[in-house]
Amino acid sequence: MAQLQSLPVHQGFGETSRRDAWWFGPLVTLIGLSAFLIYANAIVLFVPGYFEIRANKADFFAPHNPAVAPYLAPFHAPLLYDAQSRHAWFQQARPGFWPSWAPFSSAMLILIFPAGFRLTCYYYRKAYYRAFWADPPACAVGEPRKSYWGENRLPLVFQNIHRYFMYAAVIFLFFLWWDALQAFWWPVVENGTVVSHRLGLGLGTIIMVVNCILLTGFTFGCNSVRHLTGGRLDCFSCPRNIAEPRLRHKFWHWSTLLNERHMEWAWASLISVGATDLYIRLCAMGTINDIRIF
Amino acid sequence: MAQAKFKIWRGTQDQGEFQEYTAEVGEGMVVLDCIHQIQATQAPDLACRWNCKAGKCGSCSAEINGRPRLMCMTRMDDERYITPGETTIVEPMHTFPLIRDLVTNVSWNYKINKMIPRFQPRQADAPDGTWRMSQEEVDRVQEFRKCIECFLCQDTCHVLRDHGKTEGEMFGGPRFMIRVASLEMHPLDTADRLPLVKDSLNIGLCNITKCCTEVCPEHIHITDNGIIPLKERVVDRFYDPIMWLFHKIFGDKQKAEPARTRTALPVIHEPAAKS
Ligand code: SF4
Ligand code: SF4
Ligand code: FES
Ligand code: FES
Repeated sequence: MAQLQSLPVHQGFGETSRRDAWWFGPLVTLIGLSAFLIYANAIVLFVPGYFEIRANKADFFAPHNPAVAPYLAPFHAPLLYDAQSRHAWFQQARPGFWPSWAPFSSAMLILIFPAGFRLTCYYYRKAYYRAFWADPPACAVGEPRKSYWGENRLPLVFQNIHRYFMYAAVIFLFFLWWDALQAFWWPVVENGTVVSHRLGLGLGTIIMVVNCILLTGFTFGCNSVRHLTGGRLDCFSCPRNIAEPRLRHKFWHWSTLLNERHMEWAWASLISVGATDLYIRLCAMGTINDIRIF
Repeated sequence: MAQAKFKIWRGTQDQGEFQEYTAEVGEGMVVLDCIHQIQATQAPDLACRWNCKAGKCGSCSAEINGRPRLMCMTRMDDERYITPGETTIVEPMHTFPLIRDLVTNVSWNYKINKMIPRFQPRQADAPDGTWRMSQEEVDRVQEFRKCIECFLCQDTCHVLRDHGKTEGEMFGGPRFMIRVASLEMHPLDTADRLPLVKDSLNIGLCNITKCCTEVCPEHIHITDNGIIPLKERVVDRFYDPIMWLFHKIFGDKQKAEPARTRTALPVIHEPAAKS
């Protein structure tokens, strides 16, 4: 033996004996999630309006500016405050408690819930721990930091509240489906006022429905749903559960089927939320025109 | 026959080097075959563990081109792991102390294993001392029984590998999360291992980055079916105030209940007794 050395330990960041493109997956995740975060923040902070398509495209908040299509951009759903939108739950421009000097967008009130849901989702945790925090960047690849507490201590112990965000997400689904159903109910505008409504269909309606389907698949494949519907039980047929014979096993099984593709649902629904939002906003700003089918 | 070049770690943890060897590779050969050939022709003292050559004994774990793999289940023509024409690097598992060449000391795992209370079935369901359970109930735990204890998941897990959490605030590792899951989710078992999982095996140290699942040669969904459901159970018991209240009011899970008091057991079609 020539020069003896010790077994390479690969403890430095990115050190590994791997020769495949281990960096590719995390890189795609990093780019994808960053793009979404940049878009979401830009919308919330800088675009308070343009969440629906209105007659006067130049001045969204102009008085008596009726919506000419029944869509609602998902970043503003549910739309809590707006002075004129049919989607709004409170017909006023902003809540009374909001300081008058501060910029306001209805999205600011609600986005914490879907954001928290995805931030604490088991799949997204994996994705961003790897891509953003490099802990680990990929399997059997060295890490940048030595110290580690996992999810045992603050702040990450808060990941354990995931199920509460899941409850919120299920409630949000009702609102989103409600908005999607409303997207079939088109305003008939004459001389700048809405005179009636009638059944209709536009490309945006289809996009909103697809978005809802993807969000539903993502939400019900959640590991907390899987746990609470039946995963908690050790015995599906034991005395306590006999009243609902095997029902909980079925729920658990359905949720498991969705859960097996949770990553795919996560990405598909993330992209669809972003794309639906972008589509409706571009139509609202007049950059592109919606296609009305009937 | 094609020739393949290998670089294999020879020596101990602190004293050794990569040595180069060549092997004649034929149709269908796996890395372990090449190691055997090298032993037979060039390095009779090369130490490696193996037993079944069928991916079932879990002894030939190593790192092939940096990826934790069973040597007997990695074909030389599998381009995901072996790049044709390039030297293949074979190293021992990095997480466990090296004895020599490719052989590591995995006894730490057996120590962890002993911490887990064994299967404790409820009182028998039938007078003849047998139990009844339905297939749906055992599907879940059957997956975990496939484990061959190759410890590749323990080797890859960054909590053990990079952060060295093998003592003190130590992490039990994915293999033992699976073992606990197989007992905790068992329809007949009555023991309670959740405090152990939370405080001694420190499930909170797992950040569900899924490397264990990626390397498991038995394709056990370690994270999705084992660790995450256990984490959810730990949340039920220790973190979720509503669940905590629920348990206070309605009593703890079925485990605490006495054996089931059904009068009629499901009919089991046994062969008619010979008269
Ligand atoms: S998912 Fe958890 S147990 Fe598995 S390798 Fe990652 S940190 Fe380790
Ligand atoms: S769980 Fe899989 S990787 Fe881990 S020891 Fe068992 S068979 Fe090996
Ligand atoms: S939403 Fe992904 S695990 Fe709950
Ligand atoms: S020799 Fe038994 S698993 Fe490889």
